[in-house]
Amino acid sequence: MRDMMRPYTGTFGMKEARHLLCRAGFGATYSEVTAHAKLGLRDSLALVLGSGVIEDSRYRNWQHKRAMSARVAIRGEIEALQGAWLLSAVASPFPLQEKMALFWHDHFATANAKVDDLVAMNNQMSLFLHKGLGRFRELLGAVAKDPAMLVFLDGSKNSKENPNENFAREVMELFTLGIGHYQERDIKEAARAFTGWQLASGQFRFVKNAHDSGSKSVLGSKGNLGGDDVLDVCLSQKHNAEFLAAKLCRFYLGKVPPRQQIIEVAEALRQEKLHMRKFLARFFASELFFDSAYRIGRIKSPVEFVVSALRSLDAKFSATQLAKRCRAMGQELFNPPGVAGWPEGRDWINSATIAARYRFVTDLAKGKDGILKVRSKLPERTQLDELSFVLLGMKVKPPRRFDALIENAGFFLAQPEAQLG
Amino acid sequence: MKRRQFLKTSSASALTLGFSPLLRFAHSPDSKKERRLILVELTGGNDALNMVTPRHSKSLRLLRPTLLRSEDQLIPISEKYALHPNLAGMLPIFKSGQMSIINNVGYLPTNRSHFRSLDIWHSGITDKVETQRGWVGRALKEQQKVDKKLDVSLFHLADGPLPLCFGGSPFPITTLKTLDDLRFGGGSEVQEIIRKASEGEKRKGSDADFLKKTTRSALEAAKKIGATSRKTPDGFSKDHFGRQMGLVASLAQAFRGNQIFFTHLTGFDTHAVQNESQPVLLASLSRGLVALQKFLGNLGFGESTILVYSEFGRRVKENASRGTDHGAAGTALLLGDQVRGGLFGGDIDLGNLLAGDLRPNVDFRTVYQDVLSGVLGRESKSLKPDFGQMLRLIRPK
Repeated sequence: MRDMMRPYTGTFGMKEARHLLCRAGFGATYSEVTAHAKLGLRDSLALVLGSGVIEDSRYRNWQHKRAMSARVAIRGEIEALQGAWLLSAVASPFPLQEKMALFWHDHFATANAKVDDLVAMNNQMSLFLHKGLGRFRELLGAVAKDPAMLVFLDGSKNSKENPNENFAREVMELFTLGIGHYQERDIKEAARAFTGWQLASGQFRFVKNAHDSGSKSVLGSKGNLGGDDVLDVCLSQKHNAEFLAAKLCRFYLGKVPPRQQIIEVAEALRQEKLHMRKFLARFFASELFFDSAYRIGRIKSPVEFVVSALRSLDAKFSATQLAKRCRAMGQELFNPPGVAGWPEGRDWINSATIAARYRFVTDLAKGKDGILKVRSKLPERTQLDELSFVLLGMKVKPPRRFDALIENAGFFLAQPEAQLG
Repeated sequence: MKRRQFLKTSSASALTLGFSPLLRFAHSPDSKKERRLILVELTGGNDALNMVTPRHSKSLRLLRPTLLRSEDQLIPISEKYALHPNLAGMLPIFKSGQMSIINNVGYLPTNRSHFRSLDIWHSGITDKVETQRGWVGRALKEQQKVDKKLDVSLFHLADGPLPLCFGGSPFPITTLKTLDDLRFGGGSEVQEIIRKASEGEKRKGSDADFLKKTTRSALEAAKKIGATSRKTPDGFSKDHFGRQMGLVASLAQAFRGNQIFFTHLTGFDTHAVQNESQPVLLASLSRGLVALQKFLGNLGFGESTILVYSEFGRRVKENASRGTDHGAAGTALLLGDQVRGGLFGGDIDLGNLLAGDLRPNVDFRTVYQDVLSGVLGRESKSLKPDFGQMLRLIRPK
């Protein structure tokens, strides 16, 4: 298989539209999938990439949820903050933004357990939401100076007498290159370049007389390098694009493709100068993305599972309950388990977390107290095939037709295929 | 004291003399008897010298001016050794011969990285990096080949991903932190739907198949727990370790059959002001172990062995922050009715250190082999100790 990044020329029907809406967002209702299939790949993708007109009420609902985040962050209520994020992802008319923010939240993993400041954590999330689809260099620069990140990586006291190697190491190991693509001496030298990058009154501040302005050598570049210069140097390394390509593939395809494809994806990233929206415009329209090897078989993370269930059903759920359920399933927004971020694929699944996923499904189907019922209803003769298609990607026949719409949905969500997307 | 010495060194003659403690073990083991193994990992590198301390040691007092407790605070367990005061609750267990203390346990060459050292203890392999299979998983697989009817339930009660020691297990592992974690919700019709949906096998090795397998074993575990009281048994504290011990107790009661549990206590990486944190952890450890030992003793069925270990001990000399840095050999504990009880592993020799650390004299795998022979009835072929002799920590049956 050569040049899998070439434009996809196959059919763009219901299956393909569903695949695109699941991966480039959090799934959709049957009518949304139908509408996208009718548009064809080019116009559907344009909408997915955010260039459509958003209906007023939908936009207001989405912004209302975003504003709620800011309010609960100030009050220090982490569950409310997690819930607000989840509901804004459900309401979002431009879910690629939230999906990409989730990717960056994992890539630049920062945990409130250490930061202990929800306003700072929410501000970091805003960075991911607003800069996540722009140029990577810009996002990286902003995150490297983000107060929550500085606290998390002990960047707050960073002087020429005591350079912070931890920060320099994570920039290379986790953010830009990965293990094996730098030497220990590069870290020591990079740490010198970052001296003076401090935190003062909760904001980034460059303290000139704490900065080591001597000559440094990082990854082959020599000179009086400052922190931003080091970021540029990291991004100029050939391996950087491959490192990011592998992670993006893992996230959007469900598995890392063969090396040849990683190289092709990396080349596309380089050609688009690491501009995420431009890159994704090519990626989501590629032969690679629509290849049968990468359809359906991707275990959803807890956030993806609950948000897509609610979006596909156009259902409601209590914000804090949603946050609690995600935690029981093993994922706490704003609080990943460590610098390496969250698990992937099968690592999400064990007896406790699968039981938690099923508890969510059974409670949703029961319309349990505190959880509101499904808002919109299908026509009287419930079109079970449509529900099955949108939730599972295939036709599954229930043993009987349940009385309430949501119970039928519960049956489909109880199938193991509902965890894949 | 004297009597126990006699029992240890001449079990044959003790049998003929018919001392009552041995009569219990004189019968051949009931192959249907449930056996339980509880692994307790003290994660971070427990300072063993502060847990089991040489008494009246002038050199230790010089090397640990702030960390070493005064003699009158320590709890003597023999002429030479004493326990940390916060382990006072465990003294009766030691005195009744149900606890073995194994000093100088470790491996060579020593490695001071937490990750590498934990991988070594979990995999049982020192000469290469093993990331998939662990000592328990491999031993179970071997045993299953010989005993087709073998059935063991494994439980992961600690935080974090599945422990490497369970890797390669032919039996499913149930992960939970509370009994409620395995609740599926919904009535019997819903549970039936879920059960039916998780039956069969579409494509072996696929994600759907993996999801089904996990769901099936979780449903089974939930069913067994179903009838059990959700209330934690009495006597267990509500701290992190106490909760895990209480959960072991509930599961031991609910699940008949052989069980292996993985639990942990974290926070032992005491590089600074050690006396502010380690004593609290030791108190929690003691409370939890005492409560569990008592509960299991009263249960009336099954035989339990508790193994307490850490990935390395800490340096003999305290550092400038009134803490200790990563060391080498440490101390393991083995608790249970069938352990031989007493002190093992030779003396803690402060005059024969290995680059400032306690020298490993007992290969940790000899301890594992003793545990496996007691719990599974045989040692594992894949655990090859590099040095030290077998200690025979479990009484012969």
